[in-house]
Formats: sequence, structure tokens, C-alpha cells
Amino acid sequence: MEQARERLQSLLVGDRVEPPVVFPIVVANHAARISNVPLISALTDGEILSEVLYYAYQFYNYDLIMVFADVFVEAEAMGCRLEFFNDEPPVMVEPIVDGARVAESGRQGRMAVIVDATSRLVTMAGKEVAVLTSLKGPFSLASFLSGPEDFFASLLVAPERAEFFLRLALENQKVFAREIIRAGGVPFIGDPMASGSVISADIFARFALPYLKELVQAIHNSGSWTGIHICGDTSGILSLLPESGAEIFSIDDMNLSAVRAQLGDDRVIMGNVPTGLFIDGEVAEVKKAGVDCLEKGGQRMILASACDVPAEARVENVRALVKVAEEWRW
Amino acid sequence: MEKRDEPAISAELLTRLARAVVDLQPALVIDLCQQALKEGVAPDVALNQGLAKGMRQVGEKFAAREYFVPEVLLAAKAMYAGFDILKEHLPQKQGYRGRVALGVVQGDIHDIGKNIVKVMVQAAGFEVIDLGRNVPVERFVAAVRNGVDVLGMSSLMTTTMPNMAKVVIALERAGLRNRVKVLVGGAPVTKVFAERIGADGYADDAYGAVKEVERVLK
Ligand code: B1M
Repeated sequence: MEQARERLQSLLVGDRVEPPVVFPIVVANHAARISNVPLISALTDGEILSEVLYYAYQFYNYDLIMVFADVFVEAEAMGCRLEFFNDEPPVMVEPIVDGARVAESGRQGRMAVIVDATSRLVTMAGKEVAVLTSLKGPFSLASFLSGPEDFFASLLVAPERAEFFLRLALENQKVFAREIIRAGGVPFIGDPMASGSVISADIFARFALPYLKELVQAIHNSGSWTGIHICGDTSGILSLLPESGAEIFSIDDMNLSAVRAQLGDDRVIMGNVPTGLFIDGEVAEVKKAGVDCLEKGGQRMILASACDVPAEARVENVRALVKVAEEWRW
Repeated sequence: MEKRDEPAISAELLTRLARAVVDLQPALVIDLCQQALKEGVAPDVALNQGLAKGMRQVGEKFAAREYFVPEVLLAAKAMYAGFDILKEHLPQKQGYRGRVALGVVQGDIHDIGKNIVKVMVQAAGFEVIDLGRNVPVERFVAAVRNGVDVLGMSSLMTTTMPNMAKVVIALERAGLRNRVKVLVGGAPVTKVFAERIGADGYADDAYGAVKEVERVLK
């Protein structure tokens, strides 16, 4: 069997891949949990983050590694204040509003933790598997910088204010993406606030898409491919997503046949076994959901969870998804 | 101010007021509220048949996915702007149908849904005390101790849902459980879960939340 890295490359250039690439989206929280490490250590120390992610990768034997700590890494580096807990993701207690500025380097604050973990993982496993490193889409980051409520109001009544934060966020992410690529990682964009559960297609087209496009362009210019994950119901904006230019679209819990129809047969889709199933479901249910994804999504699929695998997911359920891919023949 | 006997004019004014909320026009809402007072429309009528009616229509548009979160929050801003004008003219406190404390449980910052529930509950005539997000158990308990009729908790993550149960237990321990009705909601919360932790009610959207508040206070 070809190594994970080669199978992913084949998928990206349009070849049929067997077994399909599989990745239950295991990130810091679940990885720390199964490694018996307090989450906070993984969120604040690049070496520990790389170790727990590597442990999870070997433990489950899936085909990608994703470096992701929590959604506020960049916002914090740019000046937002967070509150940390031992075993829960941090919460943002204060946006910056005024005095927000682009990080001086791609290693400011905990961005350094992410870059450090990326380069360690590339050294540990880069030959066999691609290391994707998550960064926020400009829309989500801008909303954190200005505070979501303030940002939402700006979108409708003071677009120039929203655009100010969007520019700032975009510039920061360009710097961060370059640093990730330098470390050997593939920047992978997550834009949870650009969700169709939160904003309309019009707002998406005007305030999220153009900035995504520019970020993707910058990533391409630095010699890397990229992907985009948007949480929630994105049915209203799916047809716009390809305009971003990204190579992979990772989608949340929604009807995959409809998604495939909207995106077309050629796009690589990543998804979309509901994350709740990994906690409450039985192995057979996870398997069924996995098979369903491959049947509906077809050959141009990365079999994955719909969003990140929850910390308390049952190990046998995560394994079950990997197994679906292993046993699958087109 | 003399109450003018021109119901047709005031009906038209109220319709325009409701529409100004739906059209997300805070400045126009302010103008129309001032005009309504000047023309002798009773402030509680302007509130219920103008502002709140508009907000209900906004809620319907949200449910139908015609409006999204930014639109609802801006409509709420318009409603509050109007409410600030009417407030001074309302009979003292009598305006409120009850007092509701709302918060997102500890460890959880998903407050968009809670904020929408807040807007709709306020529009229905209840006083809302907003405890914010990432609210520790003790803060919920303190809110009940200070006197509220309903305690509403929101959680968007399976990982933070158990904190709702902790609040219910803490209320029992503090001997406060009988003083308050407890409502829970948020995407992963279910009716079964609500019953299991001993909550009095559950709703899966902001509309339902208003109905539940009304039901438990009956
Ligand atoms: C009292 O009575 C009541 C009655 C009714 C009540 C009620 C109370 N409260 C709500 N209701 C009801 O009425 C409201 C109006 O109709 C409704 O409210 P809702 O809140 O359901 O609906 C809102 C109007 C719109 N919906 C939303 O606002 C949620 C949308 C999604 C995309 C979402 C968003 C936007 C965000 N997120 Co996150 N986020 C997701 C969501 C995906 C999804 N599929 O839902 C979800 C909730 N997030 C999740 C996760 C995991 C996370 N998020 C995180 C962060 C964020 C953002 C900051 C980016 C942002 C929140 C911004 C904010 N200020 O709220 C992190 C958590 C940080 C923390 N400590 O809280 C993080 C942990 C990500 C990470 N790994 O770091 C998932 C939870 C999974 C789980 N374990 O259950 C998630 C389901 C995504 C997924 N598919 O996995 C009803 O539920």
C-alpha cells in the first residue's frame, strides 16, 4: 500500500485512490485526552502538542495530521484576552477593538506553539504523511478582534469598520501562512464564523469570500495547496466556495449527496460523519455513516468527521472510521 | 398629552414602527416612537403592537432563514433604541411579565443563540438579566438568590452540557430550587436531557423559549 502522503497527492491530482484517504479530524483536545495529558499543556507547548498529535496519529493510523490547538490562537497573539482551563478549550474574555495590529512575525504569541509543533511533526512523520496546520479564515479572526456583536453590526451598518478588521486579519494570516509553509506544513483554513448557520450568502459573498480568495492566493504564491473548513450548515454558500481557489472543501454535518451535486464531481470533499456519533454512537453506526459518505461522496473524498473529533469521543468509534477506509474497495 | 381619538392613524403608525424594526432602521424606530408618544399612543401599545410585533416578524424571518444572526442582532438594536424612548413613559416596572436570568454555562462561549433568545424573551415583555457566557455555577445560583422567576441556561457543546446539571444540583443544595423555574436549550440539548437533569422546560429555538417561559410561569 502506498503511504498516506502519496495517496493524498494522487487524490489531489485526480487519480483514484485505494484505500481512500481517511482522517477523523483529531486535534489537540482528543489527542491530549487519549495521551493522558492536560489539554492546557498541549495548547501552550509546541513539543507537547506535537507529541500528542503524533501519538494519536500512530494510535489510530489515519492518513493526515492536523495541527490545531484552539480557535483563538491568532486572536490572542494579536491582543485578545483569553481565559484558560485545565482540560477545556480556552474562552475569549475580551476582544481588542482598538489597538489591534498584525503580528510582527508568524511566531507571535502561541502562533509560535503551532509553528513549532508543525516543524516537529514534519520532522517526525513528514515523509509518510502530510501535516496540515489550521489557521483561521479572515472573517472569523476579524470577528474575534472586534468582538462578534460589534462585528455583525458593522457588516450591516458600518462596512468600512468591518473591512478594517478583515484587512488586519487577512494580513496577519498571510504572515502566519508563510511561516507555516516554511515549517513544512500545509495551511488549512477554518472559518467557523462564516458558517451558513450564522450569516447569509450575501454577507458571505461580500465579506468572507474575497478575503478567503486573497488568503488562498497568498498560500498558492508561497508554493502550497490548501483547504477550507466551514462549520455548520453551508448549503447556501457551497456554490460560492470553489471561487476561493482552495483544493479541498471540508464540510460539516449535512446531506453529502446535495453537497456533491452542488460542488461538482471533481472537487475533493472532506467529511462528514457527525461528530456526536463519535461520543454516543455505536461502532456499527459510525461504520454505516462512513460507508454512506464514500457512497454519496464518491472517489474524490477524504473520509473524515464533520468537524473536529470531540475530546470525549470513544476510541473504538474513531477506530471504526479508519477501518471503513481500510476495508473499502471502489 | 391628550389621547387622540384617531385609531386609524395610530394603527398606521404602529405598522410603520413594526416595519422599521423589521427593516433594521434604529433611527427611524426612534423617530416613530417619539411621534407615537406625541400623538398620544399609549407607550405599552407602542411597545407591544409596534416594537415587539416587529421583533416577532424578525424571529419568523430568522426561522425561515431569510434573516441571519447579524440581521436579528441589528433588529434588536433598533428595538432597544425604541424601548429606551418608551421606557420612561411606561408605568413603573408593571410593564414586565416576569424576570428571567439567562446565561451560557461555564466553559462555553457560544453565546449567539443565547443572545437571540434574550432578544425574543425581552420582546415578549419579560425583564432579562443577562449573565453572559462562560458563567460559573455560583453566578447562576447568585442570580436566583437575588430573585428571578426563570433561570435559562444555554450550552452548544456536549462537553459543557453537564454544567447545566451542576447548576440544578447547586440550586437544590442552596435550598433555592423551588424558588425558580429552570429552562435549558442550545443545539445539542434535548428534551430527554432536560428531564433527566430535572429542568422544568426545554426549547429548541428562540420562539420555543418564549413559549416555555410563558408556560412555566402560568
Ligand atoms: C434557556 O432556554 C434556551 C432555549 C433555546 C435556546 C437556548 C436556551 N440557547 C439556544 N437556544 C436555541 O435558540 C437559538 C436561536 O434559535 C438557537 O441557538 P444556536 O446557538 O443553536 O444557534 C445560533 C443562532 C447559530 N449557531 C451558532 O452560533 C453556532 C454555530 C457554530 C458554527 C459555531 C460557532 C459560530 C462558533 N464556535 Co463552535 N460552533 C459550532 C456551531 C456549528 C453548528 N452546527 O451549530 C459548534 C457548536 N462548535 C463546536 C466546537 C467544538 C467549538 N466551537 C468553538 C468556538 C466557536 C466560535 C468562537 C468560532 C463561534 C462562537 C461565537 C459565539 N460568540 O457564539 C470552540 C469552543 C470554544 C468554547 N470554549 O466555547 C470549539 C471547541 C472549537 C475548538 N475545537 O476550539 C462544536 C461543538 C461540538 C460538541 N462537542 O458538541 C460545534 C457543534 C461545531 C461542530 N460541528 O463540531 C437554539 O439552539
